[in-house]
Amino acid sequence: MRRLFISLFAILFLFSCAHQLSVHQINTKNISVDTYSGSVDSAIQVIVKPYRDSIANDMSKLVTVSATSLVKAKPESKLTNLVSDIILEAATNYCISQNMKIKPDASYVNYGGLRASLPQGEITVGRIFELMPFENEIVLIHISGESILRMGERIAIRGGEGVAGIKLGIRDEKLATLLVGGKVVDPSALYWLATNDYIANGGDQMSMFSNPADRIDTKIKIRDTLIEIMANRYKRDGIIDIKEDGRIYNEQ
Amino acid sequence: MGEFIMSNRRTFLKQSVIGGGALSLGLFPSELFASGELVKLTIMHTNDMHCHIDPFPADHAEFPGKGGLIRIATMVNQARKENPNLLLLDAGDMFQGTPYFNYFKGDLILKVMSKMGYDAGTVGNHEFDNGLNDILSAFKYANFPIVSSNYDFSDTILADHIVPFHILKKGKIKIGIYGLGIELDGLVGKLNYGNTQYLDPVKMAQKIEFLLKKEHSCDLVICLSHLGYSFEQNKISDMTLAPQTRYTDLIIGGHTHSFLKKPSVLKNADGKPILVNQAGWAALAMGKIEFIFDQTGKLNEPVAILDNL
Repeated sequence: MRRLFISLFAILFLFSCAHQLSVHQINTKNISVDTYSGSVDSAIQVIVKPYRDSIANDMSKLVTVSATSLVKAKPESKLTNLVSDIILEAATNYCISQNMKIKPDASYVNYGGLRASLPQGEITVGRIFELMPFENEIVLIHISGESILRMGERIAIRGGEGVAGIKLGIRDEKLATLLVGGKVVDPSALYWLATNDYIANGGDQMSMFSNPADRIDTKIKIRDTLIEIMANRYKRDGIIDIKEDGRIYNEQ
Repeated sequence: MGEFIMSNRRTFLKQSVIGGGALSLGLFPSELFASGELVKLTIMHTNDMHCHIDPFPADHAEFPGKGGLIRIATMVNQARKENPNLLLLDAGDMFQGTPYFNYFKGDLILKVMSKMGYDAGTVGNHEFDNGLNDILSAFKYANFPIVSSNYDFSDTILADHIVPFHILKKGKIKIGIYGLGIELDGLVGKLNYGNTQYLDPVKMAQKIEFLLKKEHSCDLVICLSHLGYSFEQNKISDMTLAPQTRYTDLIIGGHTHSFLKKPSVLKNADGKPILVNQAGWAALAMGKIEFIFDQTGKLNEPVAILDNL
């Protein structure tokens, strides 16, 4: 009798508790959106269309025409080289236009900051927005050769990044060779490096760029300068045919 | 006596499932759902959409004509017809990546996500790209909560606009959702995040998951994480977080743009299964996970996890 009472009490207790559901089975599927073809949700279209139309005209403007597709890769690639070269050129032009007695030595572009590839054939403003969606600006920092070497070591660990004005050899993820302007880096000398404000502000763990001897914020938007310089080159020289030039290479 | 009924019932249910040869497919007889013995929650999730509302252009070098939130909207509509108990979630980095963001900041992506019926989102590092003011102005268009448990916004203009966790019900299922963000220092400019304080994600996860499962009696606890799937360095990630949790059932991740073939199944601190998933980026993929709950309390463990949808 006592046992029955305890059992009844236990059952009552069980059922009086707030009943929390238990998971019995889990079914999963990660779906690729590329294979899906269905009709587009009209309610979403109604929201998006006016926005899409208002920027379509700007985005379809031609910037340049490329003989090949430009895809980023390590240790170097056509895309990282192109962007790094343009940033060094834009920084150099800026110093000339401001009558500064500064000639930037090199440029550094963080690999992760290039967000899309560029196609073979026509490259529109829209494509440059995809490549460089950020509102980042060119910054010049005056840093020691020692910092340049630290940068080289970081690039070596990462297997490559975007650079211009630099030749860099990697062996076993370590920096083996580093030349700036064709010369061996002097750790105690100062160099002018062009990069973006994100990196100059300590982004992407590039702490060697913190506390530079001097810093110039050009206020030049990188996306704007990419469009301008590429469009000018196209008008002047026609189709671009970017080549890799071995500026970053793996040593045996 | 109760135990007797339970084990008999369990045997009956198992037999009824195995009987049809359906267990290998993970299918249950529909009468178990109809009678209310089993209930199903469908979760669909995205991450790192980066304003990819439209598909990539047809001549795009890597993803020609692929992806697009506008397509995901249709997929979600279809899934919602199949199961109204549908939870739509995002793990951050909604902002930045297409001209939609450059021209209209975060406004359009949040308008679209709101129309799609997202249930919750979290704060990725790129949400900070134009600073706190632009987060505030865009979040005004979100009709769903943005959760973050380890960013303390209390000393910022976002204090009243981001919640540490969110609890909701889908049918009879009570779900608790919390959010974790990546360390901002070194990743986001100080000017952009202002007085936002980054708190230890593991401690906050443990605190909030306990609160959700034990105090609020949630049936399911989900973490929306923008920590990243895993790192070579010794840095907190979804894969290192999961074994340190006890009450989280699913981590929906982001940041590392990882295209997982299927969710990773790990063991939590109590040796119970926890799922970690991530769906690439740019609305090129989406995760779909069904949780089937036993309402009778008789059928529970061990939980079967099948990549079968």
